[in-house]
Amino acid sequence: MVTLISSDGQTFEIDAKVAEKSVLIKNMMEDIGDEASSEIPIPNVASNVLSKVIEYCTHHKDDPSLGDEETNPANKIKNIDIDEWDQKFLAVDQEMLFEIILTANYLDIKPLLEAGCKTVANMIKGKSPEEIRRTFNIQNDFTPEEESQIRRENEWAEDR
Amino acid sequence: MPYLPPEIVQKIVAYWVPENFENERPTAPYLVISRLWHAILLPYVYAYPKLDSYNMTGFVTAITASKYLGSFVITLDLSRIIQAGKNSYTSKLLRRCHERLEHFVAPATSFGFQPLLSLRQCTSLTTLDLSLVSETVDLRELFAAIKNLPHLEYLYFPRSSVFCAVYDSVWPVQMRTLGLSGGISNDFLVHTIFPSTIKNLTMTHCPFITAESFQTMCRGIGHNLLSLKVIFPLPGMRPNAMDGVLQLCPNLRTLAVSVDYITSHLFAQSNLPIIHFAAENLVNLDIDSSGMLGQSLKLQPEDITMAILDGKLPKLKNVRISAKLGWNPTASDVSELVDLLDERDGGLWVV
Repeated sequence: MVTLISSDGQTFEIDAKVAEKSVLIKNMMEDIGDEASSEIPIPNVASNVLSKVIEYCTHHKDDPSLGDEETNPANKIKNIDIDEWDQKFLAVDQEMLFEIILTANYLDIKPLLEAGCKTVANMIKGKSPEEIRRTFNIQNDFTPEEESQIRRENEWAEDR
Repeated sequence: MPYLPPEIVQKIVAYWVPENFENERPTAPYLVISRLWHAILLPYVYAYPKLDSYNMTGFVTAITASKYLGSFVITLDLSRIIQAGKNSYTSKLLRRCHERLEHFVAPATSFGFQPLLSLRQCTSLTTLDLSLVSETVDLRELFAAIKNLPHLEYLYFPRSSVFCAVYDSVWPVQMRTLGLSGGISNDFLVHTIFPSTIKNLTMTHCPFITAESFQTMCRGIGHNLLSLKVIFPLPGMRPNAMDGVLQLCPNLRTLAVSVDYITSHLFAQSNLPIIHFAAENLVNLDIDSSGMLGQSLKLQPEDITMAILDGKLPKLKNVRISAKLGWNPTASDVSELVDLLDERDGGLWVV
């Protein structure tokens, strides 16, 4: 068993097999060694997000590791399909989705990170540049001159 | 709203762009979202440019005005450039894009000495398609240009004319697919030592090639070939020029041929590999037709059916035939063949 401590001090006692879905925690556990009931602080993840991520890891604890998949060139092709369970799991509000993605990135849980990115990619499908700016809360940091220059330069690639 | 770091935005974009591309929404308008998005999207916009006569000039201007845009280009398909395909443009583009360029399709007008010189720098090139070029290309110059391209796998000769006088050419080391067309001579086929790496061969638009030189060439490289495509027009070939092809190329997985050059004797015992009297590796058979008078009677469905029943085509699964063959899809001989192929999880397609 491993105990994870979230940023707001909540403790989560989980199976080592579940914890090992995170490459970061797995490496930490290997570093600590076989000491029973080790405590691992996860300082920049809040408990509501951490519990979601643990839910994901528990569901996927028996999946084969992604390691061998990456070396297979057939899997290089980016596929936007998401596993049905993952789809339901990620049907959360946008802020939570972004938090899950950031946590998956931080804890190094590749399949969750991929599923999260695919979900966002699906979300912005068919949206206009302005809508994408709003979705990601992006400030347009181009001056109007720069913007028109970019448009001019890449006019050949616009829809005609 | 939490802020997503660039590496995550990049991941999201990697899923989003191909989907966008499939639905034919241009990516370029999204460049103005922000500096970060501009940096992430720019390589996608330039990797596979869709070019035609209207936007060619704009593309050339953008590429030449910038020091780095050319290095994003992976595929340069100029097949839709008709009149704007000046040699100097093509040459300039090749020079600018040499860094990562993998696929190049030359425009339909010219491909002269200048672009050939520029080609030498494109060391990542895997596909070189000159099949649309109408200007005479000197084969010697072409070989000089490609001999140092270590990754070149596909080479298609110019369709209209090629001037050849040299037969001991040095081929790129990775050549796998060769498309022969244009004014190649019988001597070229007979005397050239083709590299054994060539697995796929296509021949079309060769006005001078005769059955004899084709057969001589097959005696040389036939054993290496996995796929062979011989398509009309090859006016120098006899109506039965390719009947012996399954014997000459015993390892073929795929054979695509115009019915103009075969007869029902294609599957005759004397035309099959001597070992088991069977084309043991053939999986896909693709019969095309020029549609000219008399071609529709040369090969009938029962010829293939009989060959299958006689065990001459043990692996044949997929048969694709041209509608110009005039086979009646409701006739009993066709449905018999369909049933046979169905049993093998294959099928018959009329295209």
